[in-house]
Amino acid sequence: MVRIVPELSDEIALKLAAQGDQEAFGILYERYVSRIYSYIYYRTGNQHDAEDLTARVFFRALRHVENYKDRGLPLSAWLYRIAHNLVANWHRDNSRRKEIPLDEIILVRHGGDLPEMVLIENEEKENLLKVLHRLPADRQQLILLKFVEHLSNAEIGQVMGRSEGAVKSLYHRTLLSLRDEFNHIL
Amino acid sequence: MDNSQTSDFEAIEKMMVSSLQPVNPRPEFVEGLHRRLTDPMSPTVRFTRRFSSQFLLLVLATLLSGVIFFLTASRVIISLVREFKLVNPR
Repeated sequence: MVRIVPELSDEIALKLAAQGDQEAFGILYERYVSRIYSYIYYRTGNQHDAEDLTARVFFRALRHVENYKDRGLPLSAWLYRIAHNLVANWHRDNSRRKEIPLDEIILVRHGGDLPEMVLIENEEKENLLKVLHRLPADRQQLILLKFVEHLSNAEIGQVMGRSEGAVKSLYHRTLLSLRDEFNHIL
Repeated sequence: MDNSQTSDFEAIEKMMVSSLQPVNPRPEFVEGLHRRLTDPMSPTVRFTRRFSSQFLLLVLATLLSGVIFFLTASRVIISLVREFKLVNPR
């Protein structure tokens, strides 16, 4: 039998998944799992929690896929919203923990570069991640959607439930606070 | 925006572009979660049905020691009962 299912658009796969087609949901999962994981990884800072929360995102999506209504919101935006809510709960539950440990895998590893350069780059990256984690949740979300997920301002607006102009304005304010934070560190 | 602010912003954006790269999940995690989502009845841990010689040896040793234990225990019980009858004859 020829397997044409992976060619399905999100809309059709969603309809099939809502009717109980697990294979269709599996296709959507394969399409978005890396993006959702990456987003959660940067918000939590460790692999263990990122895997746990990623699994919860997709189980929640599977449970509610029947109720999903296309209101002009792409599936990715819906998944990012679920991820954002779960990460917010995770942060609330772990509010006593001030420092988020950063796994080594997000630090730069360039085989050919000079060790000093790698060290400087890693330090720069660590500082950036520390500063990012000090930002309010909505600003962290904006930065990650823009630079890790490469979403446009309009797409970020869909995820965050804001207008494109509001996203631009929030981005400008975020850059200002990042600059102030960096000036404070250096 | 003045020039210094623009250059500061550009430097921060450049740093974010180079530092914030996507992080891929472990393939085992992706496969495992896929299985759990699409086939909820499948067990999360699977054991292969293979009988190694060590496993068979262990089973034989367990059976043998079980038989020896049973024989020894029954002999002890029988002798205890006999002893009890000798001490308290009716």
